[in-house]
Amino acid sequence: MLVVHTADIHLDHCFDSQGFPQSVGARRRKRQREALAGVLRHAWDRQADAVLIAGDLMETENLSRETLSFVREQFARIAPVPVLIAPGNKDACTPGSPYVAEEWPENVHIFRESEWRTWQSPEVPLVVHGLGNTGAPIPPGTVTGLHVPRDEKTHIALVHAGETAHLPEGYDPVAPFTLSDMLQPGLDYIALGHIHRCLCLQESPGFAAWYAGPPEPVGFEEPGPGHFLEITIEADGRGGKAVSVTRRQASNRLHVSLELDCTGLPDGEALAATVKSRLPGPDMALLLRLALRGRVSSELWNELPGVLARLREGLEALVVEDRSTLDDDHAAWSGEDTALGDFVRRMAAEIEDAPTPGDRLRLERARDLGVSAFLGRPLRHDTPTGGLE
Amino acid sequence: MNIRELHVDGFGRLSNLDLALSPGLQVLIGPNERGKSTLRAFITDMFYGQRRDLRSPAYDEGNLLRRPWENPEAYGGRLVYALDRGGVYEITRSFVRDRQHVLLRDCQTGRDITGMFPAHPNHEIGFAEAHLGLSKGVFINTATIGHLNLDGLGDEQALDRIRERLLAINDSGAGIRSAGSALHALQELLDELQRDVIAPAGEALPPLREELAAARAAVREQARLNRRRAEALARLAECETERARLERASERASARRRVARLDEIERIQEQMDAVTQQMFPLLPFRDFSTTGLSEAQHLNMLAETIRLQTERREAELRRLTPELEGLEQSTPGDAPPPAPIPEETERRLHELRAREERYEERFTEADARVRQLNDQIAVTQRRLAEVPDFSRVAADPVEWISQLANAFTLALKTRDKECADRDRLREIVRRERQRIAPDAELFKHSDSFSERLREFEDAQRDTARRKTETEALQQSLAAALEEARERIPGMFWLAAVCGVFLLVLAGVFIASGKPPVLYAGAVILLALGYFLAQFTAARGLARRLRQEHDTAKAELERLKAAEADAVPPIEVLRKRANCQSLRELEARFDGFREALARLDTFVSELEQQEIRARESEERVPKLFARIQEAFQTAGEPLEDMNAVSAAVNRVMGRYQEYRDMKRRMSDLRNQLQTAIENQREYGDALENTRRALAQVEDQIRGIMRESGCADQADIEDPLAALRAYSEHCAVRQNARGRMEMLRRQVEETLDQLESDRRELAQCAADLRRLLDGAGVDSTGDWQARAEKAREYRSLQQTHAGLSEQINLLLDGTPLAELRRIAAELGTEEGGLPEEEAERELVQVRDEIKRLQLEVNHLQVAALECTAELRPTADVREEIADRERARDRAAALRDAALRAATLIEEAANQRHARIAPVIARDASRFLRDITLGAHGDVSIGDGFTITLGPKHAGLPAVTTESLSKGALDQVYLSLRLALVRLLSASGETLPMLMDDPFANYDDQRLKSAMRVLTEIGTDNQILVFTCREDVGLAAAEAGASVIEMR
Repeated sequence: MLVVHTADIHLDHCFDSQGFPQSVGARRRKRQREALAGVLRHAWDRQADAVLIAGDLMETENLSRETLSFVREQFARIAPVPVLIAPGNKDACTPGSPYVAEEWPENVHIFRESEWRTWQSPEVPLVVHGLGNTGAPIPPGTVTGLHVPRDEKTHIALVHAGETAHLPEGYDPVAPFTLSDMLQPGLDYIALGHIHRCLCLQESPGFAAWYAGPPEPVGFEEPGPGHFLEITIEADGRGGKAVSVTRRQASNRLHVSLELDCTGLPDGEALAATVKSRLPGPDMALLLRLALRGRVSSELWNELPGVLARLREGLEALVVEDRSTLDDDHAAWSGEDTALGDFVRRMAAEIEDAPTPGDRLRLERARDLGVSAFLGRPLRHDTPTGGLE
Repeated sequence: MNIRELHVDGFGRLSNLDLALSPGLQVLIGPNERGKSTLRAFITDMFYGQRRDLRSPAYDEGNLLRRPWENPEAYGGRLVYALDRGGVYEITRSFVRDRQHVLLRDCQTGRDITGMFPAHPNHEIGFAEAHLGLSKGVFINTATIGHLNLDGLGDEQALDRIRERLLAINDSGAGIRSAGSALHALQELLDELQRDVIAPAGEALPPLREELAAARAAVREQARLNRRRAEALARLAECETERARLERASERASARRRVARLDEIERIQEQMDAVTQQMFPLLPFRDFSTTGLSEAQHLNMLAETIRLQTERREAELRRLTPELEGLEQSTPGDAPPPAPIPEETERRLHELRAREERYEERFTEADARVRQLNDQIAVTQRRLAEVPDFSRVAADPVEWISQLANAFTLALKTRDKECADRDRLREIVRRERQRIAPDAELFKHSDSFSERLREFEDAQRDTARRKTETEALQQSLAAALEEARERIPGMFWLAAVCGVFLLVLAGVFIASGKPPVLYAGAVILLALGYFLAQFTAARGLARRLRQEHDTAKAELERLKAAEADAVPPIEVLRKRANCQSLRELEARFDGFREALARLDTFVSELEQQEIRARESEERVPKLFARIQEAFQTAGEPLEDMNAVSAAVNRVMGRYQEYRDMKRRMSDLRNQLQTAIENQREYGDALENTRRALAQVEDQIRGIMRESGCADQADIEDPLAALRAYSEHCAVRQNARGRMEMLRRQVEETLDQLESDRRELAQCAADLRRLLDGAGVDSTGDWQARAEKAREYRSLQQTHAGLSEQINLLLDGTPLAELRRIAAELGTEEGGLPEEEAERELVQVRDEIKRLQLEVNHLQVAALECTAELRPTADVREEIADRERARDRAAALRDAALRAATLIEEAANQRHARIAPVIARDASRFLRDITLGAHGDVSIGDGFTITLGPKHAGLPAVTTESLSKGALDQVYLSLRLALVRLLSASGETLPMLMDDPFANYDDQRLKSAMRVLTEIGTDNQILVFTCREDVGLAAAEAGASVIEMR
């Protein structure tokens, strides 16, 4: 018996918090749809006995008709392979949600209640116990309240919930539960969603519990690449079952966050070379968030827009966060009895008293602008360094 | 601070140069390219090093330009300076690439104190900043006043430029931008941010937010609609269930209702039986057809109408017949009607007559034209014979004559121009020769000054060499003479001793007679001989040496005299040229050489010009001969060259006349040919027309004769005959026409009568056939029978209606089946009444339909909610993108505003502090330099510089009224005041001035020097200049002048 497990695809996710340019968002959403199609195609190719989607298939808040049509079409395309969906907190099965209001292909089964319900395969001895998110808080103990009958069938639990021991900081504790409270004889596999990481909670010869993670990484918090899981459950010949889980890579995209201290970099070429030396190999499509720190020489500052434009050409997306300042000899100017010297002294005093690092950076930028204005350097606003994060 | 001494090992063109400097004003004077600017750069580099970038130790390739020319490895030097606060220091530097180093030594202690000063990121030691309190840029821009800085001040914005320059130095030190310019740049950035980012984002965001709100509202609405749809679907399912229940109930109620109708059915069956009994007596009329009754009635009426019509026609016939008979009697019936002339023949006759007239006219015209053209051709031929035949002259005589005339005119012009140029050059050469004749006489043997000078110097050197050699010879001869003289007494005395001994031995021998004495005497005699010989030789040598010594002495005297008398030929030449200095002579000689070279050029040009003039003069007669020959052919004899132009005009005129006549002749011949062709054509056409006209006349007359109109046919004029014939025909035709018409009316009336009678018979036959067909005798009988048949059919319909009622009551259920159901139902009571069940069912069905419609409507509405809207994710991302750009720009704007605020504060405070001091000092300096010619310098708000009037009450001085020199002096005054200000609070700055007096007159130069001397009591001032007058003025002011060689 073979089932495919995926979760947290977040179709139609809004990438407004990632700092991407506007054009990247649409491309990222297309990649998400492609990732779902890839998972389903794999299930069809392998003639899986079921496809399990452990919540957050889509983001109802932003869901477009096109995406919904796409999803239904993709599900219908792999019929009769059953697709089982346990809605998550982002695609909760509320009265107006597509899970309720829309018609779904015959091979799709949605667990619409926030209580454990079962689905039995008409073809194989497979029982999937699902619990959906209805938008209302799931009472404590609901997830662990699953009772699996002891029989010869394969029993799989499908739920979008946060296992408290593995829930990362900052995550919404949706349907919190503890794995140990859920374990029971007869349960062969727990297909989980919510944590955006391909994470094994437990794996033994007769049982496994996994978070599949998104097939297409959603943000820089989950670097990628995306995976889905292929679960094989067979009789072990001793009256029990052998469960094996295989991770399959779903996309070759990586989110890379890179912090670069520009101090001492002589020019743009050196910066580009340094960045490239710290990036993964060419077989991955990269989404790079580059944070510039330190002091930038005036040569590098002049070349920066061109260098970043060239760098962007080889990447899926580039986000630049500039916190660098210009590498000038402020001490020398501050010693002079000139207006420039006076300005630099005043700025130094204000920078010294800056209450927060953000204020300090803003004042350093003010000082750089003033000095550049005095020295006749071009004052640009259309480059990453021209802006303040 | 002042620089005490400096030693340049090598720096640009300077090499191994030592300069000792003192405090105060010093003028370093030297011609151009002697290294004054290099020295200024050396001083700066010695203090601050050569690295341009404070942040990087990278070597600046530009420094290679100042590598020593002679010995690149000696790139560097030494400089000693003293500080006002005490202490003397020596800087030693090497600028050699890869071996750069600096050493600062305290001259009082002799210790190396280089390490006491911090090193910059570029590895330079910051002792100069520590001692002077200035960075390199500030030092260069403050302490250095070069003449280049003064350029470009003489226009209308000069004072503004001076202000900007001063502020640039004062505000940024390095002299790049003033605070005002920096603020301007920041303001531009702020404007750009507002214009390009913040404002567009501000404009774009509200609509985007509205779009997002609309999209979210649409999503909410969609969810609401989806919820309603789900509710409707649930309700629909419930309704479907209710409908099924009601349908079952309705079926039961229907069965009960149908059973209840059984009595009614039986009652109707009884009614049907009664109707059947009424129908029975009428059964014979059941199949009586009423078809045709209305047709028979119609035919009856039609026959009556036709009868009336026949009577009217018979009355009309009786009226027409007498008139027709009268006309037939008046018109003989056997006379054939005149045959009409065919219209086509008549039209052709007219056409042929018109054509004949037209052709006759044209033929006459063509004939006259031919005669006229023949006359014109004859006249033209006579006139053509009178002009020359240009066709023999050239293919295109105009071009040929024009070329000849142009060539001749050009040749004349060329000759005149070349001759004029030649004469001009001759005059120039003559004048030049005259002009340089004195100098040529003066310098006729001085073709080369340098060679003369070299010869003179060679001669001088030769004389000196010979003098030295002669002196040496004289000295050596004197020494040899002295030596020889010293030898003479010795030899004399030795010979004398030998002679005495010989005399003694001779005495001994004589006395003793012993032979051995002779042996000794022989030896002494030999020695005596030797010494005597030496004595003689020494005497001779001394005599010869004396003579040679005297000769050498005389030669030396001669050489000295010659040297004393030797006057350089150039000096002779200078005196001859009456020049005050050799430079003047040299200038004169240079001028002579240039004039000579110019003369040579002119002579060379003159020779070439002579050749060109000669060639041009020779060409004119040749060309004239050709023109004569050509014009002779054209009938224009030509004798005078000056008459060529007039002759050309005449020939051209003649050719014009010839060409016009040729053209005219050609035209006339063409016209004649055309006229002859026309004449022939019109003659043929006239003949043909006349033949055709005769044929048509014959045809017409034949028709007339055949019609019995011989009188008309005999009229000679065919047209008159035709008119007469036509009138005759018309009269006969009218009579015939009326008769024919009456005849046609009678015939038509007879025909109609016949037709009416036939129609009447037909009607009667048809009516009979219908009556026979119906089996009745008359239409009245037929009417009565038809009434009975209609009654039967009415009863039949009543029977059918009752039968239908029964069927309706049975509602498709066979009566037997109904009776069976009634038996089954028995006496069952209760259940939903059928009407109620039906009513509820209808309601439920309506509700189902409504719900289905609502579901569809909700689905469509849900789709439409978001159909026109972009996905919310797109909108949110665009909003976030624009907000990020706006926030970045706003943060940058805040930073720029903060920078601008602080710059403005710093600049205002600084300007307010220094403006009065600079204005006061600059006013004083300007008054002293311009000897009171200008008033005070004022510095107002915004550091605006104005120049006050000399006397109170007058308007302020405008820039336009200032000369460039005066502007220079204003600028110098302000710069001096600025340096003084910068020096006031710390170390006094040395000033390095590079020829700042280019536009000064003598008076102001002297006064400026006095001012600088006064300032020099505090600040060391080094003025680099190439002008002697600056040196003289400085010396006059008591400053030291150092000449750079």
